[in-house]
Amino acid sequence: MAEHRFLLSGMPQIDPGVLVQNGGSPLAVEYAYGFTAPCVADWDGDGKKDLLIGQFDQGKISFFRNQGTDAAPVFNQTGFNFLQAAGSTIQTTYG
Amino acid sequence: MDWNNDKRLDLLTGENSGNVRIYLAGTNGLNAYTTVKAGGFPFAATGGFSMPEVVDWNNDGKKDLLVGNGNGTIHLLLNTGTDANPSFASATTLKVGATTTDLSVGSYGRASPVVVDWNHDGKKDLIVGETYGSLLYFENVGTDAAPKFNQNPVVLTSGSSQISVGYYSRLDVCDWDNDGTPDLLSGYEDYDQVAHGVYYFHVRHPPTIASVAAIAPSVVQGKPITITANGVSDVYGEVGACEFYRDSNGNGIVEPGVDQLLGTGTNAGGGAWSWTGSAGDFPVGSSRVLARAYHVNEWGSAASTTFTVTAPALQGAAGNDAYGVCLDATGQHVQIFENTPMSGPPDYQIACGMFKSLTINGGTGNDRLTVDFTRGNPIAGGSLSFNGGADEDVLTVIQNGSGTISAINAQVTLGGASVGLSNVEKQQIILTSLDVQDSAKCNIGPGGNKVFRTSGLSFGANGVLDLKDNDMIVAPAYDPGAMLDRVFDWIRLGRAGGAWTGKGIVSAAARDDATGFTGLGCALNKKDDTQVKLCETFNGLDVSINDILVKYTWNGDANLDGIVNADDYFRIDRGYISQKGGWYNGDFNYDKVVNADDYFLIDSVFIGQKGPLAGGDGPVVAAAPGQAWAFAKSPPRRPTDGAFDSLFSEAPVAWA
Repeated sequence: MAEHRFLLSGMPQIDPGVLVQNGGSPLAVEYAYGFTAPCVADWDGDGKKDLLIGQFDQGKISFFRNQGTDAAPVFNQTGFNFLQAAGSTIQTTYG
Repeated sequence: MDWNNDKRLDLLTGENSGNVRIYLAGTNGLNAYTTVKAGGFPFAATGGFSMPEVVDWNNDGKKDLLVGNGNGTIHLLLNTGTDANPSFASATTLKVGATTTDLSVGSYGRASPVVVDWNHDGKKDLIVGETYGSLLYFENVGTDAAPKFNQNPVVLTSGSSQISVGYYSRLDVCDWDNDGTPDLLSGYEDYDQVAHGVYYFHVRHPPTIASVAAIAPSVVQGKPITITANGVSDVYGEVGACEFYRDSNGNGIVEPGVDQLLGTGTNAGGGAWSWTGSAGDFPVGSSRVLARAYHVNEWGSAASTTFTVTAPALQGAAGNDAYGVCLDATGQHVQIFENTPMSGPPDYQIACGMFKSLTINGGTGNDRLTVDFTRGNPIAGGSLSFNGGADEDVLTVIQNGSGTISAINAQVTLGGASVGLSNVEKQQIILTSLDVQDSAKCNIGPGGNKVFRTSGLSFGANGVLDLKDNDMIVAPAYDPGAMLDRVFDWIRLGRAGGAWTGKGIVSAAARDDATGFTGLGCALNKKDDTQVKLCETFNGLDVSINDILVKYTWNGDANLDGIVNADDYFRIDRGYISQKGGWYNGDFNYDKVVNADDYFLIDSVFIGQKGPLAGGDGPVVAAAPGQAWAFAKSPPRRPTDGAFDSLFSEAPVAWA
């Protein structure tokens, strides 16, 4: 959720989509019915991009910390780190 | 994103209700949220399911907000506050086309927009997710600061397959692998009862070119030129080819079919691709070349260079130089040769239609210029100047086979050169203009079978045009009376009291006619003060009433019908009485008075011929009034006919 500007040329091509992996299997949010909404940011300020993913269930937002490099993100995380605000887990109306 | 510019990452979220929440980061993590307001009231996306995207939409230096709506449209919230403390005007809806229709992902809704310059044209575009999981590309056809969109988005594809993540594509764009390309991430849902994560779409960009350079910033038109694209690369090492275009309309964008493809470059190694061709593909002036490269099947955008193209001006060396101008075998290029056989590789090669002017300065020595019309007119649309210098310089025009030499729209300027059209086989020599400068001499080849037509005729102080025993038509663009006066004066000068050794327009045939019965007559193609032509055609060429006719004929042939008879006595009698002047009115010796001298000339011919001329070599056909004139035979020649004293010391020489 930021402005993205790149100085390139011509129409790009898109490789087939692949699922972002987490510990050897597709990264997933807490429950079925994903309705996932990703956002890339260096959330922990370590110089590497991390993933924030909004989900359907309770409208919570998971923080997946990048344990690889900035150019080759790796996720190897068990459990969920839900973003909190003012001391409690962020929840929005679902969807 | 940092909402309030305090160097801490804040969190912006949409939600089912359509509100947009801001969680500002404090010293101990995120604080409780506030709801974005627009126009003073809490904002809510139409149809809920708000998907916010922060962007400086109007390039005013302040973050604005785009919000994807549940109903498929997109709201724009322009920031009327500051960048660090945003506040928003009432939301507007993005439009398409003529601005009356909402931009929409469709009735199933759930727009999830991200902003990126997807086609790399320097303007922000939109990629929008939606309920059915596709990624829709809305190209910005406006400006970067005032985006506009067309009606129909493009469904992004991977290869030939349209991308779908199932349902509910919700997008973010970032350079995931730090290769300089904006990649795409999408959330999804497909109702298979499994918890889901995120699709990653790796995006490749076409090759870029760091710079393009011509081998020289200024090139002579028609000379070879090399143009090199430097720093041609893409991160995948898959550059397949590099194309070079002439930017015909100068807009800096490659437009096949509009811009001229010069050729495909060759890989010179080290990321350089080069093309070598002829600067003849460029018009005189400033030109721009565009280069672009591709990998797989995507072309990158173009890089360019500009350079100046100058018209060739050939400067001969001391000694005898030889030049040639002709069309190449394909008729595509004008080839110009300098001291090389015309069958060899040309020194200059200029694309037809781009030939504007060519100046050849022969310098000292006996210089020769051959213009070959065999494959067409090499100087159509262009002008040719040949300054031969003070020596015995020769211009030769080659015309093989049938047809007419036409240098229409061309000017031939001859300075200080002798011009031989003597090996022209056909009867019609047509030049837009002929400028016989300085001491140039222009000879129409003998034979009495030619007519030279031009619209513009001018002479330098010592210029000579020798018609020999041929005829001429001068078709001035305006004021034929003034042109007739000039032609009359040029013949008067050339006639030199009957010696035919002067400057201007002469006739070697008249000079060499021992009987003294012949000369050049000239008249406007108009009967007295009527609007009736003297003739409809002259030597096979259509002539207008404003054309000036010059004919090698008998002295006394006032009406230029090739015969001296009562009609001509009528003319001189009328001229004697009226003193109107001119050959047509009986001034056969060009002394600007009709008197006994002129009667002597006409009587000499009439009596000397013992009656109306007929048979032999004399003119035999005079058309009845209103009829076209047939080409008249030449008058008799003296016994030395065929050994014409050319004004050259040597006869014109065909090109080696």
